[in-house]
Amino acid sequence: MPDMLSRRELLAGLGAAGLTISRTASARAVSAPVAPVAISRCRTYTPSELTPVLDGMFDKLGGLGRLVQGKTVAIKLNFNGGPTVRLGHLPLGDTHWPHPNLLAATMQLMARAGAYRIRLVEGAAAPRTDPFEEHMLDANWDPGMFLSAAPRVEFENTNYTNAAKKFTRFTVPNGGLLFPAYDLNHSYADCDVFVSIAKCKDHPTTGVSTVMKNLFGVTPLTAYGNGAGKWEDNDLVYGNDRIQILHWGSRQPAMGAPPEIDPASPREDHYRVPRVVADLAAARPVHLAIVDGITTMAGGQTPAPWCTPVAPGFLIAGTNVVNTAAVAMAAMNYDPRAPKGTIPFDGPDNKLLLAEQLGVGSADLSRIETIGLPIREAMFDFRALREKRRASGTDGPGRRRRPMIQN
Amino acid sequence: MRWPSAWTDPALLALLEGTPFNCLAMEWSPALAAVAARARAAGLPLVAIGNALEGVAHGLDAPTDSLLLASDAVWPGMTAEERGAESGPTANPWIDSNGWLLRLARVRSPQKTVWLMFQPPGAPRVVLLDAYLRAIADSGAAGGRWVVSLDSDLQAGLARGDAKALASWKAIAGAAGFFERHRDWNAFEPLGVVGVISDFAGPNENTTPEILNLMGRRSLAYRILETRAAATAPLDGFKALVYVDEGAPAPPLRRRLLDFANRGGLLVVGAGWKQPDARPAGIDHPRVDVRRLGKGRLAICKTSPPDPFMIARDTHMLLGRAYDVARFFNLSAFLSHCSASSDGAAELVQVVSFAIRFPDDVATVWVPGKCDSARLWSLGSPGSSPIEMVPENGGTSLNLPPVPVYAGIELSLKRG
Repeated sequence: MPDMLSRRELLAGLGAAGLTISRTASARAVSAPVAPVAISRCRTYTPSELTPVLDGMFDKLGGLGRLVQGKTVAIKLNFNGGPTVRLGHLPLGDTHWPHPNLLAATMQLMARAGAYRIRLVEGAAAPRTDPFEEHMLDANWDPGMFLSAAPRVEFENTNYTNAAKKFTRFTVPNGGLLFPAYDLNHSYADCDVFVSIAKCKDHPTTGVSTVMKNLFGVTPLTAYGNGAGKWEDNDLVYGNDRIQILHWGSRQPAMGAPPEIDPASPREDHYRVPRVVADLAAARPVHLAIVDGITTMAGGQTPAPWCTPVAPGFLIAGTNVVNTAAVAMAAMNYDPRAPKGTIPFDGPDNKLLLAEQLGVGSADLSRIETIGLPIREAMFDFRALREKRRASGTDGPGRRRRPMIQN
Repeated sequence: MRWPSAWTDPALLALLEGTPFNCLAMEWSPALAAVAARARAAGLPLVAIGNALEGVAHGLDAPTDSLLLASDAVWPGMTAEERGAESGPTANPWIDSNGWLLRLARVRSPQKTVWLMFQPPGAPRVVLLDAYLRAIADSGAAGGRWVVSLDSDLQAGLARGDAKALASWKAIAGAAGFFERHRDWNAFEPLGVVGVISDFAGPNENTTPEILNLMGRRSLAYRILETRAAATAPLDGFKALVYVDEGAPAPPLRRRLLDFANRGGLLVVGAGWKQPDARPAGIDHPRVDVRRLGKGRLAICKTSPPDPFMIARDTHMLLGRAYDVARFFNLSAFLSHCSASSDGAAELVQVVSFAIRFPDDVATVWVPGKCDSARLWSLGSPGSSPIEMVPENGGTSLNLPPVPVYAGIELSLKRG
């Protein structure tokens, strides 16, 4: 298990890294919410084996009915990278997108628990006029399996305002770290229950990508993407990432979205992206977080030559996104309280601690109750793989993946 | 091949030994008289190009009626700009290809062998071997042939016997020979449920060919129907028809198109199309007015002439990817050609890759249905090799090695 830092050590480490925490913020961190996190062994996506495991985990968290009965549920998918990019020959659900069977099983269990409506939401890098289902088909997913999983299933590409004709403003409680508020698709406001489902992966900009980093994709490309403001007259998204505005801060958001709090703050993605993620976790609270660790990949968020397919064989779920992300990190053999400058936050600030500072949830494993499989038994050593890549010169902090041409 | 004007030494004819190049296209000049004489003596046909009359006057042959020479072809490849590949609004790099031109030429002259005349780009661009192989594959995969033409660097290298140039020459000859050995593939019929109807002439000679080009770019398998043929050709196998020519179709064709839509098809038409009885489909679309017509849909373009890029993508999205003939993974800038034997027993998926990929960047092609066998043909390989087949999403994923330039996949498939 990773060593635990004391509060004093934490503050010393963060201070050295240039992250200042106000007294109020540190108080919020100490009292940040905690909720149980369930961990289960699961080595297959075969529905007959997967669904009972998932069902049991939800029961341990208090039951899905309590959460979703009669409610509208929005599930944020984890579609990063183009739909036609694979790690080797492996389907996307085996490596960097959550597996479709896991998604379908979750939806079926929610339907059984009485969910009124389930809306699958994602900022898909596709024109507004492309039905979201087409984005799934492009990845060789069958949208039919989701449509048949629950009575009322909808799809929404949250890069656009769509039927609402305007974005909804989500204010970050306590002021925000980078932006005071974010303008998002109406689906993130219309839902009663917000779910983040994501693979556990390494990430070049934020160290690790799980259910928290997944939230970065709720920001619409038409307001925060590279082409934001350039293509408002038609429905095509120019570029498919948020490098210019959110990563580098080379310009402010478009479509009337609020500008950042301090334009003089660092124009550096290791500073900015973790803060955006923490802000979003505070502004759009997650009610259920599900980490797909059955199979995934190590080494990056999207396929690259140095990435490795792995099969950790675990599922993690919780009702607090920071708690869940912290347990997932521990199961990856990373310290969720690791300060900037240490693995896996070699370059970036620790987004979990930033979210903790905002009072979203605790990243302190000693305060988080885990149910089911102990972390030490679930653990898969992403850290060792990272150190191995680094030793062989195929990985390292700040190493940027050469952009691949998207279809 | 196009004999270089600078190759005035008849000894260079020895380069042709053991290659598939059995005919020389020659732009006559007196300096080539000795070459022409030796070639004739060796039984090599000589075809006059350039100032053909002068060539014929000096004993070169005029192109025969069995050949169709298209001289407005492009050098295939990704269009380069100063800062990298040129991109469209969806950030896909632009590809220059002659595939659509060959497809159209073969529809118009099915009995002829279509040869393309185009030359490599000049300085300062350096023409790498892969660019030659792409030029050959771009034509060959679409059922045509390129009159191989060498750039000045390769001409000079071969003339002085440079080893690297000779290796490139061998590979070029090997690629040309590959498509000669697979001439039977030319008899395969293109697959696709989208039909593009046009006269491809007059006011339509820019828009509709570009639609073909851009449908190919997004792997939307299409079939070409010339307007005259569309009036009588069976339309049963189509799910969508595109007719965006200027002016109204003749009444019989219009009736057929409306019948197609009424029976459940998607009909994409130009802005001038009037159909007051079609009711709005309730789709907010910036470029097409989508209406219900019987069991099908009518999509009327809002602008005239329509943007070919938008027609290609909107047709694909209105129809839906559920009708994809194949899906491609880890292939970014590429073109595909899907065809089948007349009895449907054999299918062929050909891929020409234009992108520079990581060396270990394997590719996957997914086809809907159960595959009994799949074999891979690559340029430079003496034979085919079996392809790993993996069931996925109700179809079959074909796991390919990296595709630096070309892959030809022969399939026995029961389509789902």
